Amino acid sequence: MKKKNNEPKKTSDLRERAENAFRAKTGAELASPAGLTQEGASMLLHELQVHQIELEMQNEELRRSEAELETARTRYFDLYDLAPVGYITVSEKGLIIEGNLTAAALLGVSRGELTKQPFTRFIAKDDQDIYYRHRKQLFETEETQACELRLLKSGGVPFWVRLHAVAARNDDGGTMCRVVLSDISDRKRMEREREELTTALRKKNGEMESILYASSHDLRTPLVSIQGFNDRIQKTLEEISFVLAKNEPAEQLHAEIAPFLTNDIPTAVHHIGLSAGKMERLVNGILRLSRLSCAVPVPELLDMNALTGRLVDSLKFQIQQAQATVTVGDLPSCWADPHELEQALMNLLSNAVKYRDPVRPLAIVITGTVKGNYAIYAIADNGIGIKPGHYEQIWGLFSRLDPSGAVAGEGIGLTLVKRIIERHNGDIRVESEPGVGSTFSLSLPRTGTS
Amino acid sequence: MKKKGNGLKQTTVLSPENIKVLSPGEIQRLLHELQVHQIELELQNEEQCRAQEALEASYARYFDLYDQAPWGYVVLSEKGAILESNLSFAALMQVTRGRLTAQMISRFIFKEDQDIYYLHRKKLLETGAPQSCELRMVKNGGMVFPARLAATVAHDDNGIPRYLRVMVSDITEDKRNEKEK
Repeated sequence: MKKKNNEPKKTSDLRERAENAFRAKTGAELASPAGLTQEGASMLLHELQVHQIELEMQNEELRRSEAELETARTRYFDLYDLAPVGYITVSEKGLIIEGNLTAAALLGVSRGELTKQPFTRFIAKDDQDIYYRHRKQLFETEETQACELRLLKSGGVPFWVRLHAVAARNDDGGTMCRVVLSDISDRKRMEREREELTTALRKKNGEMESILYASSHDLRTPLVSIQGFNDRIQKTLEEISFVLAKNEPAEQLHAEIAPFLTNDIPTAVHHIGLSAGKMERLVNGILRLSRLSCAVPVPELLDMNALTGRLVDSLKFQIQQAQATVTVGDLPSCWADPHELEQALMNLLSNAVKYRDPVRPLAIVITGTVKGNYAIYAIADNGIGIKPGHYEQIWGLFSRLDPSGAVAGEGIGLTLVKRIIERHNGDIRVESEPGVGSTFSLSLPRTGTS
Repeated sequence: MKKKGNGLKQTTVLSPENIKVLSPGEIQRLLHELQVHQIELELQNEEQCRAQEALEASYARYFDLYDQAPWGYVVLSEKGAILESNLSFAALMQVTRGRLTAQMISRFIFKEDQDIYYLHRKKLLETGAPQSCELRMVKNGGMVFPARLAATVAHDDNGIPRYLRVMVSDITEDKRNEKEK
């Protein structure tokens, strides 16, 4: 910091300059005491003394305000110099005008080594273009700009920083920029780790899906034979019963075998049939799900009025059976794969039929609105409803709220619906009240790129 | 600051009665002395003014660097009260600067991220080493945005934390880019 002028060594110099100034003035402005009366001299002396005191007070005042200013300056210099991030000022020509201590430490140089250096000297060769564009944009837009690039530590070791810069005017009206440098090596390392993890996870997921596909595919074959042989056992049983009855064997034998034939075996066969049927539906569901993961949706601008009309038509039989009414409002179009969306709507509608409330005839109302870039469809029923605590559960794979099996289902339908909607960048949610009904709201983008 | 002992004579004011008893020679000497001293004072005065100007320019320079930094900058008490904030921070939070002073910084931190801030501050005070963290902050008016905090602690001569220097940057853009990756 600059030394002040009240150091003793400067005093003699000051005295000398004052004497010189006095000699130059004498005779011109200052009265010569020789020509003064006693009265005049004492007046002059008095005035001079008073003036001197004034000057001394003024000096005192100046020193005080200087001390205050110095404290304030030190404060802001410290805030600048010891800021938690590197901070440099770069001239229009790209030279570093000044850098704070943090910036110097970051770059592994002394503060002096920063000054007047081209900033590009500290930027990794491969990232010079990034900086060039950043700077260009900064001066063109005069708005805060940010970019990420690698700087070089004194030894040439690159490290990642994030640059934030604002343009400012210097005293001559030229442009300079203030640049904050924050070390983001930690974040970059974490990002890289995360990317590696994601890649690994994606690979694992792919493997899982192919296993899922293969196993569900392979499971079907033994299943079909279980079902086939089960049918055959059933037929054989009927034949045995028939033969036994015809040949009229010993009363004893008949009595012993009959319960097996008429009760135990048919019950077992019945259960095998039920389980195999259930397994078949499960396997089919998994197969559908894994096919969905493999297939890429081919979205198009979808006329939802036509699609819903076709769907309701194809469900005519079930709807009539359930004595239900389906009301469809005017539906906006959306951007989606027709087959997948048909599948999703089909699942929702058959759920509504499945979970209708026996105490009142089923009424399904389908409406649609537009909200920004999204088409929102609501499928409302007056069925048995879902408890609020189960809202999240319903989307899970194999999750069934009524495992007693009063209603046939595998717990795949809604999982499939959610997957379909989400892979169309849409959203699905449910609102429901037990005993009143449920409303499923789907939002799907209205436009997209094919 | 040293004011006395700087070589300049302290003035004793002589009353006109006292002056009357002085010999013409003494008066002449005294007058000379006074006039030279007066010039001395005037010169000193000028120099002080010049030094003050230089100091003012330097002060303005660093104040500006602080005030208009590309990041928001707040000085916090050890407990987290805002002692001072720069213009960028006030603009970021959409508050006039005067209304920031003495507020707790936690007021501007998203409720669910208070723990992140708490741990950040704890680590900062415990280690004394620079710390940074990412959390969500809330602007005046309720808008939530992701922010990056970088902080250091300033100690007094006895090693007791005096205040925290915290720089705050809006990282909405980063987060968006990250998501797009």
